[in-house]
Amino acid sequence: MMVKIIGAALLVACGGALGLGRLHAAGGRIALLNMLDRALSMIEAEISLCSRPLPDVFEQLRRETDCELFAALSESCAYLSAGDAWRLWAEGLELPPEGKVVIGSLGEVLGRYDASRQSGEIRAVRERLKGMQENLQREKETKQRHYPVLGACLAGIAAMLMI
Amino acid sequence: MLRVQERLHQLLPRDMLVSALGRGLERAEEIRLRMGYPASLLVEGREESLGGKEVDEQDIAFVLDRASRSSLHSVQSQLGQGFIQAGFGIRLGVCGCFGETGIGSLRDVSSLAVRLPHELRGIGAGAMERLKPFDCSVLIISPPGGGKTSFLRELIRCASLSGQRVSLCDERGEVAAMWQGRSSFDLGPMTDVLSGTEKRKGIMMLLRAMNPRIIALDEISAEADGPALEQAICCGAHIFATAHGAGVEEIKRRRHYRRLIDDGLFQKAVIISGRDKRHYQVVDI
Repeated sequence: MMVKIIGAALLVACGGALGLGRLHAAGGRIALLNMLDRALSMIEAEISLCSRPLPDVFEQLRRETDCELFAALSESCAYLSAGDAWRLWAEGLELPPEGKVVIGSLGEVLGRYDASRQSGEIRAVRERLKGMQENLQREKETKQRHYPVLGACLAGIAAMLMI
Repeated sequence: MLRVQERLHQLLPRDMLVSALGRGLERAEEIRLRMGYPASLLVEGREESLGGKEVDEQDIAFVLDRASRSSLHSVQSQLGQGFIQAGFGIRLGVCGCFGETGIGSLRDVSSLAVRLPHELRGIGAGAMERLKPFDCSVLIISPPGGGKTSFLRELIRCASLSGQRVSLCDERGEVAAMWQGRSSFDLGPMTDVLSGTEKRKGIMMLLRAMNPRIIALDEISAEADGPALEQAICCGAHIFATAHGAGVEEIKRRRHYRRLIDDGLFQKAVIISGRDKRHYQVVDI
């Protein structure tokens, strides 16, 4: 009986941990959106104020953020156009499909239009990312309590059924 | 020149490059891309179609993307003047739908002229002998595409080798084609290059900073350059410059050149003529 009780407790704890894990993943997506927003802000400034070529901007992003995320983008510029490299890179981001589409859409514009058009598009994408970030934040706050409890409850029911 | 060829291989779409290599790309002065027609090579003044596939929007976008390093915004100021420097002296002439700030999108471009630089050592050797010891101002005259810039490069190199301190004001970056702080062509050991700045500003900067014996410039077609050239002469420098035209009398029909010549700014002219075989004639003016 003791073993069964310990097993049930472990199961409940695992359910709770799974719920917490889901919350953590949502937090990770918010952090990623934050980083992308900062990166886009820098890209916009480099394009509109310094007229720097995009491969150099991506390289600077890689250096300054010291993040593997931008290393792939910077490296792929060696054999792809900056716009195509951006689109492929966006597909690999750990974001919901809508987020990938929003980020990837910039690939059609980056480097292919004058600075003002690119700058306008980047600002529009940043606005949309901000909206997504706020939604995720709200979702995270509402479900902050629900996910661990729900996970623990489901695991509890499963444990009772098994006992 | 190997670097020019390497850069060209990066710039052109694969199928176009293959046909161009088969038609004597190394001898070509220009490669022309016009939307809706096959690309062509300009060899010895004659345009030869490469045949095959017609140039489309993607081909134009490919070349522009490579030339601008995927960054149209970074060449916006050059585009406003109708060209892009693609490195190693390769210059892309751009035609299409220009707005107030130049080309706003890759889609606005309808044709390209990829102009290839040629380093021709020893050209016009007879004329060069007559210009020694390079102690006077020289105007190089030829029709467009007649070899003025190549002769100017050789003249700079020879003057520099003979011990004259030469400063080159390379507004469009075509003469020296600077790349990572080095000239893509041999301009001699005593040549300083200032590129990317307007001639009238560049001349004053060179006079103040580099104490040149000779100031070299490509195409002095703007009236605004006149006062700066006079200033350079007053400071004791000689001028090597180029001008579009068929001869001294012809360019003197233009007020700007007439003034420069009548004021005695130039003492000698080199007139380049002939397409297939170039002739270099030195005259006193």
